[in-house]
Amino acid sequence: MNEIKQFNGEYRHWLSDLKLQIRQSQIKALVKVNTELLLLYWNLGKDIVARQFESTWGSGFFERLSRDLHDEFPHLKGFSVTNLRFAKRFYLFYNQPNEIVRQADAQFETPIRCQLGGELENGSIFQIPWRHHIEIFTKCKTIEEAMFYVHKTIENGWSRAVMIHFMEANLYSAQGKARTNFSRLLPEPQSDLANEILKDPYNFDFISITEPFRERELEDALSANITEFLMEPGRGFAYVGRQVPVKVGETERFIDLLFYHLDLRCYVVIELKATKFEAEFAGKLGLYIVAVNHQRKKATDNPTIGMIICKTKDSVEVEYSLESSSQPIGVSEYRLSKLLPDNYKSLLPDIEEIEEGLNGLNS
Amino acid sequence: MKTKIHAARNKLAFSINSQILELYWEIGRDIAEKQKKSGFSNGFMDKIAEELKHEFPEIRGFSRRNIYAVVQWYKFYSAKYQFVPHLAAQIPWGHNRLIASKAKDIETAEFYVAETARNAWDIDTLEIQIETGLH
Repeated sequence: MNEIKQFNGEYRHWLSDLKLQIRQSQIKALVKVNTELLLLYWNLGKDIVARQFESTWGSGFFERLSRDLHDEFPHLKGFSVTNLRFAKRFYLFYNQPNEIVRQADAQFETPIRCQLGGELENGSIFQIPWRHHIEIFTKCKTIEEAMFYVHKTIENGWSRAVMIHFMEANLYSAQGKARTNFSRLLPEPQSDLANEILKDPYNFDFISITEPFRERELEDALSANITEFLMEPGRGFAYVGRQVPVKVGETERFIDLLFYHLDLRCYVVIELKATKFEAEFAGKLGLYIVAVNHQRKKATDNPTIGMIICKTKDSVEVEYSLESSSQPIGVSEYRLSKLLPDNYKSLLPDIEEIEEGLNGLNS
Repeated sequence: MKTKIHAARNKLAFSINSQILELYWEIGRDIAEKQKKSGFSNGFMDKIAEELKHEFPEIRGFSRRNIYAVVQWYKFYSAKYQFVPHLAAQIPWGHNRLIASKAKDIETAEFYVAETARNAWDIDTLEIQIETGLH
């Protein structure tokens, strides 16, 4: 019974310290990732400008670079064409021939020359996730203004939404050019900013740690197997790509596998999951199908088909999604079905075949 | 460019790994000391694991089994070391956990840590090496 009493007092206090310590450790780790990613974008932008690749290669350069980087790092979403263009802009914005710039520039250049892998330089720029930066360098007119928002964001732990709000309200002109020499080593653990760093998919993605990584490992294996299976001669599938970027609304999303069926004359979108099937997968697949229909499908192609494959240790579930011809484009009510209409039956592998083909795969 | 990206990811991987191990060392030490001082039973560790899992559901490292493993790992090395042994910090937690649970003494453990780092053994290979008792 003594234990229980002791559990309450000292224990609770210690436990809450421990939780804080863990949070800080998480943030510290992710700020490291964020820093590396920003440095990478900086160098990318710098190289692109310095080597004048665009004048040599023309407008197709970014598409080409993005494709090449995707081939090497299929899961790194940070190398989309949009992002690569932003990287260049990022570099150009802060690299203007200007006194104040030299200070911002120095924050970037010094860590590069710094030998230590351990402690962070006090560069506040590194504590802000990439997407915050995009807002800042696309919307601010001067570097002074940009640094104002950088500091304010860290000082107050602003989320991206809040920062945008203040930028739109033009806080910079209202508060004058008073510069704070405020500098934190790490964002405040409970702040919105810390949360955004912790959840930033570009960061997680970059190092592929924890849950997303494990699932991705499995999905990679699944992807390789399904590709091999579908490309067996006689099946009629032509491989288009993996992790294929498509625009969905305002964002860029990635289709796990995209094929073109030579007999059906249509695209086949394949979504792979290393988990049990969930209802929301249907909606996602629907979005991709619409995207492909708008962005890739030609007038002579037939409507795109979708396939979702969920493989867990114990089971494989496969569903097809066929756009009902009575549905107008844009309505994402795709019903998944295990039953294929007759005209498809002979051309697409049926569910059992796929399940059998994959059951040999160790997970 | 590709080289730079690979290098950056590599650097990060090692850096974050040591950070995690340092955190585990402190957690292990805190729990071990609390246990010694207040004579708490294992129920104490169960409670901690539960609370941490609740606060950080996405972190696998706070499962009950892993908290036990963290404490055992700390106790194992603290006989000789005050901080995470430098070389141990260069290999992943999973490997560390395995070695500390199976090695008969610190010397043996150090051997396996060094070999793992040198040969980049994956965890299955490491397990086989330990079972077949090279050392």
